Amino acid sequence: MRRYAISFILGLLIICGMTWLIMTFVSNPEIKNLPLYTFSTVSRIVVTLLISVVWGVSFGIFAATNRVASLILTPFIDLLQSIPILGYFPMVISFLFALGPLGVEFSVIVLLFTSMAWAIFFGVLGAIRGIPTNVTESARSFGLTGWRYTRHVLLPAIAPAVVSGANLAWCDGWFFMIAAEYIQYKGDVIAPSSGGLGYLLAKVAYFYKDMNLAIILLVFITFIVVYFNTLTWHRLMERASTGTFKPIFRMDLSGVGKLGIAKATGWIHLGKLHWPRSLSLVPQRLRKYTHIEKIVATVLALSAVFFILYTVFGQFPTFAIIQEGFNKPPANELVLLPLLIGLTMGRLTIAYGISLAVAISMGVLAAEHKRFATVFYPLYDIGQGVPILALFPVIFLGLNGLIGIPRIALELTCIIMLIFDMIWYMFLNIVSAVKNIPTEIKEVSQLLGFKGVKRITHIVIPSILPSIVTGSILSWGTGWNTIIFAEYMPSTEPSIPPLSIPGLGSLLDKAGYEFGNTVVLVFLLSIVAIIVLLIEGLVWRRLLRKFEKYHVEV
Amino acid sequence: MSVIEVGNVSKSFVVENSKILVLDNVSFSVGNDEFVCLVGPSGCGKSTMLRIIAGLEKADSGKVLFREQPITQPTPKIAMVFQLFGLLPWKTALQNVEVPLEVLGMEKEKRIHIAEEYLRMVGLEGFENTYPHDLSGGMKQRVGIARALALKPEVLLMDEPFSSLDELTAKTLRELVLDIWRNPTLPTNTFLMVSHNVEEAVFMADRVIVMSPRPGKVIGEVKIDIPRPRAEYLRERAYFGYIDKVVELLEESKTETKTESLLSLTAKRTNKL
Ligand SMILES: Nc1ncnc2c1ncn2[C@@H]1O[C@H](COP(=O)(O)OP(=O)(O)O)[C@@H](O)[C@H]1O
Ligand SMILES: [Mg+2]
Repeated sequence: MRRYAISFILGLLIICGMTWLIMTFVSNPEIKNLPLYTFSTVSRIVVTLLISVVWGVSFGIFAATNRVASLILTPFIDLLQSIPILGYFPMVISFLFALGPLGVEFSVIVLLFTSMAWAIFFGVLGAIRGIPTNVTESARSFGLTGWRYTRHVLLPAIAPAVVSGANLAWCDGWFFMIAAEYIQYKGDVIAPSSGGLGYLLAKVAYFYKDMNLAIILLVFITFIVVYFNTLTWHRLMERASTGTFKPIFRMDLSGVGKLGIAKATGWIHLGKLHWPRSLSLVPQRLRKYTHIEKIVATVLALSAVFFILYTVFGQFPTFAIIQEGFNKPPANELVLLPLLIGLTMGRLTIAYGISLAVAISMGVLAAEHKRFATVFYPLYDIGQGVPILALFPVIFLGLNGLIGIPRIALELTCIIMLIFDMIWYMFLNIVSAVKNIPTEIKEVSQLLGFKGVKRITHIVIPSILPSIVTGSILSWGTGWNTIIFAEYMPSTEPSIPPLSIPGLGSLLDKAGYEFGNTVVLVFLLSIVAIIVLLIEGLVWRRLLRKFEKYHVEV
Repeated sequence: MSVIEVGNVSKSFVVENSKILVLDNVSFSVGNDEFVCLVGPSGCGKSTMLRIIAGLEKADSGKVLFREQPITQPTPKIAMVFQLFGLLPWKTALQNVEVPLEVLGMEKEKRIHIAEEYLRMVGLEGFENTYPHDLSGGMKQRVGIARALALKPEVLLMDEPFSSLDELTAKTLRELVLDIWRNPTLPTNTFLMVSHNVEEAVFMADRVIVMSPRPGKVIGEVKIDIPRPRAEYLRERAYFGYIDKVVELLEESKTETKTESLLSLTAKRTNKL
C-alpha cells in the first residue's frame, strides 16, 4: 500500500513537472490553461467512470439475479447499445446545449457514459452467469442468502469483470476525449467551458497548426494513460484475479492479457459523437444468448422496425419531414452511394489486410522467439495506451506538411489511422492467444518434434485462429467507427469549408455537422448498420462457429 | 540391461524468486519389457520426473540415460501419453495420429495407412474424421495412445493416463494398455507409468516405485509377483498384501515429512527466540 501511495504521488509529481515544463517552454495563448484542462479532463473521466461502475454493477447484478429483469433488461440494453446514438444525438445535444455551460459539460459526460457503461454491465452479467452451479449450490447449502450471498459469492465473482471493465472504460474515456470535447456543430465549435485536453489538442492542431506542441501534448496524454494503467489497473487486476474464483475466471482476464489492457473492447466511435457497441462482447453474445432472450430481442427489433415504418408511412406530417430531408443537401450526393460505400470499404479492406499480416507475423514471432517477445510485449503495452483518435490531427499535420496536397494527406492519414486502430485489436487478441497456448500443447509439439514452418502451420496458427476471428470482428467494428471520424476534417473557422475525402463516413459527417440533416443521417446510419450486421452474420459468425472447436479444453 | 536409467537426479524450480526443490536425488531404472509404475502423493514431482525422461525438461544434476545414452531432447523412441490427452483440437483423430509421422518425413499414403491401423487397434474405427471436441474422454485417450504408438517408440511414458476418466472407462483402457504391452508384434515393450492410484499401480505394474512428498525421493520399491492376466487375482490376499505394502510406504513417508517439518519449525522458533 505504501509503495502504491509513493508511486501514485510520484506520478502526480511527474505530471506536475511536465505541465510546468510545457508551460515554461511553449508559447501558445492556450497553454496557460493546461493545469485546468488536465484537471477537468481527468475528473470528467473519473466521474463518468464512477457513474458507469455504479450503474453497471447494480444493473448487472439485477439483470443476472432476476429472471424477469434479465428477460427485459438484457436484450433492451443490448439493443440500446447497438442503436446508432448519433441518429438522435444531435437533438439531444442541442437540447443539452440549450442549458448553457452546464449542459455542455453534462452532454460530454453523457457521451462518455454511453461509451463506458455497457462493458461493465455485460462483464458483470457474464461473470455472474459464469459462476458454476457447484459454487452456487454449495453456498446455498451453507445457508448463504441475501446480503451474505452477495458479499461472499457475487462480489468476489464479479470483481475481475468490474476491474477489467472499468479499466476498459478508463481507456475508452481517453480514447474519446478528443471526440467528445471538440464538437463542431453547424459551423460552431462547442466545447465545455472548463476546457479539456482533447479540446486543447484539437485546437492546437486545427487552429494553431502547431505540430511540435501537438506531439508534446500527445506524449503528455499518453503518459497519463499509461502510467496510471500500469500503476492502478494492473495492481487491481492482479488482486482481483487472485480471488477465490481464480480458475473459473481466468478466461475473463486472459482474454485481456496480463500486460496490456488498454483497448480491449470495441465501441463504434462515430465521428465527434459516437455509437457505442461493445463489440468485444459480440462473440460471447452470439454464443451465450438463451432462446428466450433471442426471441425477446427479435420482438423488440421487429417492433422498432414496425414503429419506424408506421411513422414513416402512417403519419403524414412525419412523412413530409422525411421527404423534405431527402430534398435537402447532402441528399443530392446519395446517387453516388454505391461508389462511396465502395471507397470506404476499400479503405477498410486495405487497412485490415495490412493489420492482419503485420499482427499475425508479430504474434508468430513473439511465439517463436522469446527475445523478440521480451522487447515486443512492453512496446505493445505502451502503444495500447496511446489514444488513437488523438493521433489524427498530429498525423494529418505532419503528412500535409510533407506532401502539401491536403486531400492526399487526408487519404493517407485516414488509412494510417485505420491501421493503427485496427491493428491493436488484432494484436490484443493474437498476443493473448499466443501467450495462452496451453503448456500441454506446447509440450506435445516439442515432443512430437514440430519445428520451424511445421510448428507454425500445425500448432501456432491453428491455435490462434479463433482469436484472429475475434480480433477481426473487433477491428472491423472499430474501423467503421474510425473511418467516419477520419474521412472528415473539421475546419478551424466557419469561413473555411471542412476538408473531406469522398466516402460513406464523410457524407455522414456532412449530413450531421454541416447541414444538420437528421433524415439523411439516420438513413446513412442504417446503411452502415446493415453492412456491419451483414458482414457479421455472413462472415464472422460462420467462422466463429467453425473455429469454436479449436479451443483446447483444459 | 536397463532401458531407462535415472541416477541421482535432482531438480528445483524457481518460483517468485524462491527456489523449491522438487526432485531430490532420485534413482531408479526400467528394464527391457518391464512395466514400472511411479506412485506418490500429488505434487511430489512425478510429472517432472517423467518430463525429464521425455526430454522436455532438464535435470539440475544427475544422469538420465536411454540405452546408455544421455537424454537431452525429445526423441521418437520415447513417446508420451498425457493426463489431459494433449490432442490438437484443430486436427481430426486421424490427423492427430498422422501429423507426427509427417514430421518424421513419412510420405502421405503410408502415414494415413499407419494412422488408420493404429486407430483400429485402439478401437476407434469409424471415428477417423471426428474432431477431439466431439469425442468422449475415453476416446480421446485412445487417440492419445494411438498417436504415441504410431511412432513405434521403444518406451511409452504415461502421466496419469486414466485419472481424468470415469472408473469404468479407465478399467477398459487399463486392459487395452496391458494388451498393447504384452503384444509381441508391437515394438513398444517398456512402459513407465505415473499414477497416484495404488490399486491401479499394483494391478498393472511389474514393479511399483514409491516416492515421498515434495521434495520427491524414492522411498521404496515393491515388486509385484502376481501372474498375468491379473483380473482373476483381484480378490486374492496377495493382491491386497501388495496394496497394503505400498500404502504403508506412502504413510511412513508422510509421517516422516511431518515430523521433519515440525522439527524444522521448532528449530526456526528456537532460532527466533
Ligand atoms: N515449470 C514449473 N515451474 C515451477 N514449478 C513447477 C513447474 N513444474 C512443476 N512445478 C512444481 O513442482 C512440483 C511437482 O510437480 P509435478 O511434477 O507436477 O508433481 P506431480 O505430478 O507428482 O503431482 C509442484 O509443486 C509444482 O508446483
Ligand atoms: Mg502430475
